[in-house]
Amino acid sequence: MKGILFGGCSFTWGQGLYFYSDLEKLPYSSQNYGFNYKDVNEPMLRYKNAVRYSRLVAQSFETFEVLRDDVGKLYGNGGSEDETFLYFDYLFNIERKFKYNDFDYVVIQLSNVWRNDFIFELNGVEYRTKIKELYLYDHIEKDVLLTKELDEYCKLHNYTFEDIKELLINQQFKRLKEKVIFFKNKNIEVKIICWLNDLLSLIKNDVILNTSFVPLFYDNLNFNTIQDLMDYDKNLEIEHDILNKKGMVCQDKHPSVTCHKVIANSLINNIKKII
Amino acid sequence: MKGLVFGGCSFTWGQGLYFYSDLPRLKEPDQPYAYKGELVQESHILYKETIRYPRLVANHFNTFETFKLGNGGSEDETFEFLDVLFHKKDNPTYGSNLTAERMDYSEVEYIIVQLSQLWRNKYYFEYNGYRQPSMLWPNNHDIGHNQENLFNWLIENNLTFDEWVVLHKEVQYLRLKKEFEFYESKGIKCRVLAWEDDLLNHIFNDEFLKERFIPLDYNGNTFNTIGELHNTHKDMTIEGDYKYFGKKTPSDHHPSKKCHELIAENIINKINKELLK
Repeated sequence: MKGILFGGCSFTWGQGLYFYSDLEKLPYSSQNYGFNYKDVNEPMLRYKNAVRYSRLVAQSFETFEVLRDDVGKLYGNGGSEDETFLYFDYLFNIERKFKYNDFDYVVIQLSNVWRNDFIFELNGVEYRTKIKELYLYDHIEKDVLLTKELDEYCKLHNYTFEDIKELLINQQFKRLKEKVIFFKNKNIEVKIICWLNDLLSLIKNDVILNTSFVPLFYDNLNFNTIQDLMDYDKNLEIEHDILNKKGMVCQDKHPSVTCHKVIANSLINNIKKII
Repeated sequence: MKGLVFGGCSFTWGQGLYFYSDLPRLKEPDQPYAYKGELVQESHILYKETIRYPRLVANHFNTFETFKLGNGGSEDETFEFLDVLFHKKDNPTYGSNLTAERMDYSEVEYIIVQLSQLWRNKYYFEYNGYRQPSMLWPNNHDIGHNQENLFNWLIENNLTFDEWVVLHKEVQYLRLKKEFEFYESKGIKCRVLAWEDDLLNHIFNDEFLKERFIPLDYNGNTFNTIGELHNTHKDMTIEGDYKYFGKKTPSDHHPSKKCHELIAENIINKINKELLK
């Protein structure tokens, strides 16, 4: 098999997996969403790279994985589909270290849909704005850009917030489908896994995307999202698992090492069926 | 387990392992031992890292591995790499040809050194008032770096070429031991395996190094060096791996995928035995 390209957010990057290592100076006091690179050194990065699901999948097919990060450069954590597809574009069309025929598979882990820009047109001008913070964390407006234009746009079309939500989800779905078709045309199979369920019903009702979607198999059950999985068994979340296994308190709600194994096995079995 | 640091030459780097991939743009070098970086793509490099023995050992112990960036090398380079890795925190760009990483002793469980060809290491001598390096090979003893000054120095010191060979081995043996003792004193376990047999007598006559040496067990036989294994089992080289490649094998004398798996297995067994103690 050729290489496997992965895109995703901190769930794919492997945030918090270093807590399973025997390394010293582990950043137990770091906050879940307040990730601080200064707290995470290179051995920790290497460790989490060694146990995250992308490595496990690649390893099982005796091939390599490519993700948006590099030891020594200290970037790559977090992200959205905006960033995932920007990264893919950078990889093939700007950096050009790889060609499309270096890969057999692309795995896209969908993150929180609100991390992506909402695109709208007003008075002949295209605007991009993030609306996630307004929606998710009320009263925090630091990431809300172009509020005036968005308000004007909503008033003009008589859109409610629910309408905007639907528009954003449809934009994301449309882009995802275009990307999947693009890679399929390059003879690269695409696999999709979801953290949350925002796009799920659209994906499942689409002939092309549904074949790319990979449910997660655990405890003889199929789960549609990583969040469902972590809600089902709290030990699939780092915070609970590390408390149980090491007796240490860390505020980290990312997938545990077992959760990464579950994701990896689900992807491996899905790919093996094709092979 | 904490991290594993590997030292070695192209045998550890995994030269030629990319020929086992399904990747496009694979091109053979002109000579079986030659390496042309421009023929090797990023995807080839990542592929060979996936199946070389350092990754296989690290995978087994659910941990990470580190090796220097470039292909090839000698013990001179191996110990310089370790020096950069552990001792150049205040100078982040130093040794960037070897590694961009920096580590504490406490982050590493094992250092595993694969000895390369002894004669790739420089021999330092004092001549004309300054210390200078030379690099000569015994089977090609009139050609090498700084041979003229070295030969003059040998004459001045009433030494024959054969006596110099003994001296050079002694220096390399003492350096290996000194480096291992240093890192062991920092809490890192050190192990060694060999491509060639130049230092074997020294290693076997030294209890400290002997117990840290990893021979290669294969099919009920023990091989002390990778070279010995290659001479007996041709499929342990890429060029001799007809079983995998068929009649037309890549022109590459480096360890085959199977050989990397065997080296990994022997390192894993050695570590596992120690963990059981």
